[in-house]
Amino acid sequence: MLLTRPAAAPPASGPAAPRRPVGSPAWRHIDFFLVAMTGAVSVLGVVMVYSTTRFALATAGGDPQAEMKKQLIFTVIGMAAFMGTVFFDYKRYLAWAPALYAGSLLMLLATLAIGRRTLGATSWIQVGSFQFEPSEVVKVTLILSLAALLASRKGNVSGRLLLVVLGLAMVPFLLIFKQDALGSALVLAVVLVGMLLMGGTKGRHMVVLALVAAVGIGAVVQLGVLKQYQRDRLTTFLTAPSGLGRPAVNANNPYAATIQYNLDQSKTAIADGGIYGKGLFNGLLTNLSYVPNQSTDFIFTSVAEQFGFVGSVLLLALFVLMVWRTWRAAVRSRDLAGTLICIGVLAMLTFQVFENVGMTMGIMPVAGITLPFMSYGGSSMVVDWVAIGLVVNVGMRRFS
Amino acid sequence: MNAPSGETPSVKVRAMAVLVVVVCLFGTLMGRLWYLQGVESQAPQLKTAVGEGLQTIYIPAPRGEIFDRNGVLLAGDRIEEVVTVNPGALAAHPTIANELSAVLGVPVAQVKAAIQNPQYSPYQPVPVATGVPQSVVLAIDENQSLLPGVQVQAEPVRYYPHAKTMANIVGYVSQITGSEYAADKSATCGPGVPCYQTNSQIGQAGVEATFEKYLRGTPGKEIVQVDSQGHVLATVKVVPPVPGDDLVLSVSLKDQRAAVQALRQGVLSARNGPADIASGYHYRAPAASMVVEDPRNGQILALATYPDYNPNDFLGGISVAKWKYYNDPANHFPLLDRAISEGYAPGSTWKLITATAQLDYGLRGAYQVYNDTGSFTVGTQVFHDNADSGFGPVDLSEAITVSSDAYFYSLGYQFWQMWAGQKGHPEYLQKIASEYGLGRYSGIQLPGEAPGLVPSQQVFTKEHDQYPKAYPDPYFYPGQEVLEAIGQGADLVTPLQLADAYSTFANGGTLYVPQVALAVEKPGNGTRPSNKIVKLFTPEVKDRVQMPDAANRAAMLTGFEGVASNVALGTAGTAFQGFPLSQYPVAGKTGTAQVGPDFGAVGWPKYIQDTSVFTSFAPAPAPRYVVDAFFEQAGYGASIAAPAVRQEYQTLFGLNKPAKKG
Repeated sequence: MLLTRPAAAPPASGPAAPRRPVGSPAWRHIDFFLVAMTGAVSVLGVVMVYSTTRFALATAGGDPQAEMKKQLIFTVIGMAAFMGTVFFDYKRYLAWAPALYAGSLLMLLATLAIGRRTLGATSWIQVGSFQFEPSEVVKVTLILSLAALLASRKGNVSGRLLLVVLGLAMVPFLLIFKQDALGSALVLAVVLVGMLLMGGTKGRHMVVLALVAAVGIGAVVQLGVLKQYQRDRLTTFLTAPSGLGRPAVNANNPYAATIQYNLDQSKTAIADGGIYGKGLFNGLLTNLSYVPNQSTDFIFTSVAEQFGFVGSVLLLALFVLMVWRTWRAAVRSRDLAGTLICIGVLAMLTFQVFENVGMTMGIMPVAGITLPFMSYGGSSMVVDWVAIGLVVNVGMRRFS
Repeated sequence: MNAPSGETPSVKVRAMAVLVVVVCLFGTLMGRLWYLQGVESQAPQLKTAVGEGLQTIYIPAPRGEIFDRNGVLLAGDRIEEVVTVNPGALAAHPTIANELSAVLGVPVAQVKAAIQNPQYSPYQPVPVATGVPQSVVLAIDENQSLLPGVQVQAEPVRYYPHAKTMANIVGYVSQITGSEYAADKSATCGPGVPCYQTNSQIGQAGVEATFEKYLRGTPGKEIVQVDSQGHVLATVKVVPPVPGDDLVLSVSLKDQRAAVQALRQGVLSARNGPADIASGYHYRAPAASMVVEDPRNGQILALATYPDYNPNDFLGGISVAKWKYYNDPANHFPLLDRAISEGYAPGSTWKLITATAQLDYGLRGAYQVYNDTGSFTVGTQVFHDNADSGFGPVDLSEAITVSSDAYFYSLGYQFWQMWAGQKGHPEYLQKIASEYGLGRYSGIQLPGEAPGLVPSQQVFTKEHDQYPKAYPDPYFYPGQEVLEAIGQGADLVTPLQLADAYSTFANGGTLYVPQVALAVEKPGNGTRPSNKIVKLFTPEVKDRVQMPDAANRAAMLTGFEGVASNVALGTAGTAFQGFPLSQYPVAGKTGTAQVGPDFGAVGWPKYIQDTSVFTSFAPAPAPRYVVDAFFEQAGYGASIAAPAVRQEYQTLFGLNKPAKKG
């Protein structure tokens, strides 16, 4: 196992002979399995976007394939970004990390200045006819920055380093929080925790960190830092019935009622799928656009309704396999930085899938997090492909 | 990433921990997924929630057509251009109301009100204008960009080609009213198909109402998928409507038209003829009716009423002005079918009943002579003949021919004595009247029939018990039965009932339920009946009258024939002068019925003039027709009603030369 291979020692001088065949280029070690699965999920995403948008578009008098075509373009752009990411050794990205980090912070600041408000968050920048979300980009630049920093001390995380790391993460976290993109901020937090754990943070530091976090969360809740609607989004799933059935509408809080409605439609669509699903394009609630935001954050419900339990589990299994291949790349990495990059991506993927799918089923808060490679939208598609690109990059250069 | 120090667990352990967390998280997701899709997918709420996405639109069925007995179309469906607006179009494009207003030439407010008609399903185009000319169709087609959601569709619309002539029989359809819908909304015309929607057409009068269940057909249905905004996305299932069956009436348009014509002429001649002797004023003749019935089976050939109305006025909703006109007393209520809905004092035509009863109960033989002195006295009350001089000694047939009142007054008093002398004894006269169909519903399949009234102690007691203030005296006095015996007093008979009674006599004693429809048939080609019978209406016997023996009945018949044929003495002798009675012998009876108090008691204009009545059957030996006519405030039966009936016979027997007509 490479896990025990000393990262500091050059491969040639180690006790274990390099297994890389002589003359074999790095691209021969690309994890095609991971790429294939990512591609499969992306293609399924395009089909699902079509199934959720075609009728609504046709009714509005437009091209029913319009959003599907856009999603297809996003996927192609994402794949191109993936190839670009794979092309250079990730060492370079680690070297560029400070610049990438600074750049993404600038974009976040720009968003606050000129951004567009969409679906409860001011997190979009208009570039030409496209909009993009700097908060998505930050996920990757933060992963690279943290990996570079933590790896530089070779697994020995001192208290001072920890503070620097925390500060590094806190700036984009606060900026994103300020944009109301609570979900993206949470992803950053989870990525940070995952990378700290794998980066060799001392146990007592982790305990202190946990305590500070607990106090911080308590303070945030108590001091009213969160606005009422933010709290509603986070807590509605707790008060909604666990099964189907619409709760009594609270007239005093229409926003909570809207979320409850969305949740109820979402759960109904999932339940409508049953074991085997209604079949592609036969999902009644999907066809009738009964689930709000179905092509974006609630895309999972279209899979669940059309392909049922069997199809949904297969989709989740694809994600599990992707996470497993990412974990495999992490443990086989030639250095700690590579491991940390993969763990960062793993944390990001796992949390997003769990939070998003859990949200549609009413066991997680409605936090505005996309389902990777599935949800309609260009920014997350491209960023997620770049993340997979980093994982593949680490994996294919494990011998170099 | 060297061998871990004592403080930090090895990278391997940490990596394994990550895996465990990942597995736990995905395990949680799958567990929850199983709960929703394996368990909750059976929940009843799911069916409700999913059902919200499906909507059913009902497609009205083409209504069955109505034909006369000779296959002439009386009520049909005309294809008309209907301008419709899609639901939601007005909200999306508020300008279309103005554009449509300009194209159709109606106020904007009216267009908006039509589009927002709440009686239409929100998934169904709403009609805004019906029967628009081709120019409007073109204007809408050419300006589609200005009129999004506006369409022109060809739709069947009811029409009545012989509108006024047949109005009281055929009736009309109109949009279902709120109370009718409330009463009929649970009626189903097929499995799970309600017969009516809030915008359905329903028969409101005539056979359109009484044969509604055959004519309406079965609505089709279209199940559509509707999105959360109410847009129709797709059609899931279409069940086409089943057209209603056709109805073939017993009525003949030709005979009905002749009857309507005869009524109009009779009314005019009454108004323009000699003044009323009693009051000195011209006859008002506001209303009249005529019935032509086949005595052999009770089939109605004509059922005319004056004044009449136009059923086409009711299509698509009657205008306020028209509705006011039809309900203004000055216009004598054209919507009232007087042939079946109005009870009249029948006058001397009632003598058929008294004569039958007298013979049945052996009160006085047909050839027994009664001396008519011009009046009949009961106690201190004197009942006068029409002719004060009296007719002298008369037997039954003469009494009928000359219409001797004293002859029948005396019988009425005898019947009263028979009843009063023996408590609980059947009321003979009334029993015979009832067997002839008087005082009870005939059962004709038309709405609004009146039962009439045959006065008796039973009736008086009942009326007094029910309405003691309106009927303070429950006692049935002898004078009341004396008057009843000549069709005066409280007697009330509808023209249809009188025709039924004479049909019963004419056919030898069988009272039929008068029949207005012959058959229900499968839909035809739109202009002719298909002759594919769905349901045949056969003659229905309602009651039987014990006819006097042949000789006695012959005496009655002679009396009725004499009415028309005896020029000197017959009350209608003058009216039938020149009619080929030898070829088509007409038997009849005139009636001149007093209505309300004498002129001397109330004066003009309160005085109500006499009702002119004539009833008849022909050809007398084997009658094929019974014809009667009632003219309100028109004087002697002989002067107005009898000529009108004669005119009808000329059509029935084909005696009108083409040149003579019109």
